[in-house]
Amino acid sequence: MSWTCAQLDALRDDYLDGRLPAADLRAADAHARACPTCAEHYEARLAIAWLRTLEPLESPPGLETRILALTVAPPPQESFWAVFGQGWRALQQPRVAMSVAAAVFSLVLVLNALDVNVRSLQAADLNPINLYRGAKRQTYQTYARGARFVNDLRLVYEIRSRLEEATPEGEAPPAKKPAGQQNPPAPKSERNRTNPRPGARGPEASGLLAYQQLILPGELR
Amino acid sequence: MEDAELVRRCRGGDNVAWEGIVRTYTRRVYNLCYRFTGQRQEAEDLTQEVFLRVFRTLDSYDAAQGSFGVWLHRVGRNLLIDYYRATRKQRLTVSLEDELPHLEERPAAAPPSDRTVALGELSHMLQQALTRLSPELREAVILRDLQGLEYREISDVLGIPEGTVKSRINRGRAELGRLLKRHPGFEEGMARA
Repeated sequence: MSWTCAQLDALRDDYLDGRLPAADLRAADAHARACPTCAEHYEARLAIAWLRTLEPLESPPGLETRILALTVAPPPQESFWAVFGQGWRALQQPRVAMSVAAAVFSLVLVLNALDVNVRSLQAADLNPINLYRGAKRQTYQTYARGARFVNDLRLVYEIRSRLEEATPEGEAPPAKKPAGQQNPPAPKSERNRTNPRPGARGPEASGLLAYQQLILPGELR
Repeated sequence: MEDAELVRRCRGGDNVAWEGIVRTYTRRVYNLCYRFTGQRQEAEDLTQEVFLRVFRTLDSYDAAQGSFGVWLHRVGRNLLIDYYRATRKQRLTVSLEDELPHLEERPAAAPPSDRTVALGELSHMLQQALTRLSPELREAVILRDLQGLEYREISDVLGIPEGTVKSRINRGRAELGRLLKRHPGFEEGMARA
């Protein structure tokens, strides 16, 4: 006896679960396979049949033991030396050494800034008042050094500007040479650079330029 | 020993009873997790999580509201949904086409000669198709067709009416059939079942 779409719809759950008698199942399969309307039920039944061929997987080895260890087993007691060994191995890593070196370097920098001598460190040096005084002293000393440098620089420029005022325009400093010795012929470009107008040099200018060479630092000439 | 008795002894601090529960249900919970996630490592981790949660909340189990197995499935299902939500963003970055490139495009060639290899491949295909279902349909189909729970029990596990359970199972089965029908040897599954 062949089935109809209405019959299949009415017993769909039993059909898909395979709970119909064998003869009914065969008839329903035959109808669902041939009927475009019921084809979806047939595909679903095939999918279920396929799903049920899947064997349950075995649980991974040791899973039950791990679950029991996580729930009821007491935590393992480690000896002092085992814990110490773990800590020591952790300290032997290069990054730990690098971190310690960076920390020591930073500390030395800070102590120097606070005017604390690291080589003869005493407990009194770490007194906050002493640290404050040291920092203040270092600040003043740094400021004084800076001010002295600026003043010296100002003096140097002052001397230089005075010398330039006293030197006739276009005068070049004399070449260092022993008296009476002739200059070797210089290349044209060199002559132009150092002595653009040789005929304009006088005895006063030569003296001033020699003085300038003696007292001014090389980079300011 | 009955589950109720095991649970009662567990609550009294009997580790042997707890071990009995773990050994009885580990494989079942692992299969539930694996069929839902499709990942062995994830399934293993989730199985451990399920039992940890069961162990901690065993006092909240009420035998009057259903069997211990149903309660265990409910705990597992809740964890799986949490897992699904937590990994949803990560999964969205994976293209569905990349996941199943050959499921529907496989030419209807002759099946592999080595039957073992063929069965393993079919099992893999089936797992991929399951993973492609929406979580609501997937959990319903797994609980019914792989875990073998009754509709009423699934209703208790999912906390939804039995009619909704049937609807989800039917939609899930139809979707699975649609995904698998082009695979060669699909109708052979009927003969093996």
